[in-house]
Amino acid sequence: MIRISSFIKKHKKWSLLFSLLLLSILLMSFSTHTVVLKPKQFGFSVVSIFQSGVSAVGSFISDTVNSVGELRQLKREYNDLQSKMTQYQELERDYLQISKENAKLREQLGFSPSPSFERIPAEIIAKDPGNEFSTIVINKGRRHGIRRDMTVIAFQDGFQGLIGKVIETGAVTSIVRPLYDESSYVAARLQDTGYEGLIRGRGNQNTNLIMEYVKKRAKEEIQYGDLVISSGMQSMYPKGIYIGRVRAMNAKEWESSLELEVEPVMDFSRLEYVYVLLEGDSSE
Amino acid sequence: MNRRSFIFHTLLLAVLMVLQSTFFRHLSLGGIAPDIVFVLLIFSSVYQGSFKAEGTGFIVGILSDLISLAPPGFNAFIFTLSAFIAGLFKGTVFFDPVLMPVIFVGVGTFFKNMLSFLLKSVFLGNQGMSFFDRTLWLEMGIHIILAPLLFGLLKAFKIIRMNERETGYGG
Repeated sequence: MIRISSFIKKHKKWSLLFSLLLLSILLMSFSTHTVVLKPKQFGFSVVSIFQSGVSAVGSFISDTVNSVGELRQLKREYNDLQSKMTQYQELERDYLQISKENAKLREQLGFSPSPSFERIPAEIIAKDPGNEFSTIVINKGRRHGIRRDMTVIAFQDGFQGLIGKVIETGAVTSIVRPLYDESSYVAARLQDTGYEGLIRGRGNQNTNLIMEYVKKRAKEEIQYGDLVISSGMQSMYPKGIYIGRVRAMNAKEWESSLELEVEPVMDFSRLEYVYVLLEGDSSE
Repeated sequence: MNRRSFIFHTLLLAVLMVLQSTFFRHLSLGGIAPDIVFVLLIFSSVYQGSFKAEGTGFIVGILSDLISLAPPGFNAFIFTLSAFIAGLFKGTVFFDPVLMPVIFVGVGTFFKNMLSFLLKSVFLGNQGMSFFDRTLWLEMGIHIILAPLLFGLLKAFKIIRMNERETGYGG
């Protein structure tokens, strides 16, 4: 026993480091329910850093070589797309005008966008201190009736858009996981065609969301700018809340479903106020 | 280096952590905000030495975990280990106003992102993550630009006295 304490005193710097790191790992293990560290998973994670490094260098070289050949084709496509672009810009303008008119008319007629939900307004007071996670902190908590798993929305440019979900509640503040968080998944549907899929975030508010598992036969029907709404499947989020617009489509031959890039209707960088929907309370 | 200095550095970084999640978020570039606390922790660690720096890193990391979606222990692990390693250089490196701060912060940011990638892979099992993505390069770029400025501020306010001869390494 004396030997151990003298060893710790002699190597106090390393002993403290070991203790603090062990404590951190235990905290992480218990909070993420991975109580035992998996050596294979850990080893794979270490190796994958080098794999992704080598892969990135390889991709850069092959992309550079291939890009020379692609330039000619791109020039041709560019000319075609420019003419189409003009058409789409006109359509987009018309569409936005109609949307705004529609929103105004709905207001005048006394329609609430979601009559069945009571909303609690809240202000965003903080975001994640680092760049690894996508935390949003709002100034309402348990004392104001906020509970875990409640849906958070906002209004911007005439749209009622989905923001995310309450993950943690304090007495007077709550943590919201936004749509663009890497671990956020929302069951979604294309408003016009009805095709369903799963929206996931990519960890950055400036990158588009990804809509996965969309049936391949939808390829011909999906248009640039199509609106995506929550489908209400599995009751995680209420249905009919706007999520975003289709901005790109990835249809790989070897995959059985389509992958769509969806630009959120909400500009998260401009967001100041949100509304927490009282339904969706899973009661802690 | 005394206990009061350790408490002062830890409190300063803790207060800055809260400010970073509120006011400093508006300083973001391309959606990436500078992790000012991490940059300052690196300088503080080289000044304090490993033993005290790892304590500061752990406390500030736990605080960061509490106010974010990160699982408890995530930032504590990253900050503790980063601070410890930076602290090993106490008294061994001559800090000029630009080059050394840039090198320390550049390498530190790379190391922080590497640890973050590892911990996310192991504990959160995130699929489709990429290590060498724009977040890494953008954050490194922002930190490298800010490093000499923040280092200069710390010296100007006499929070660190990096190039003065110090005895009794804390580490």
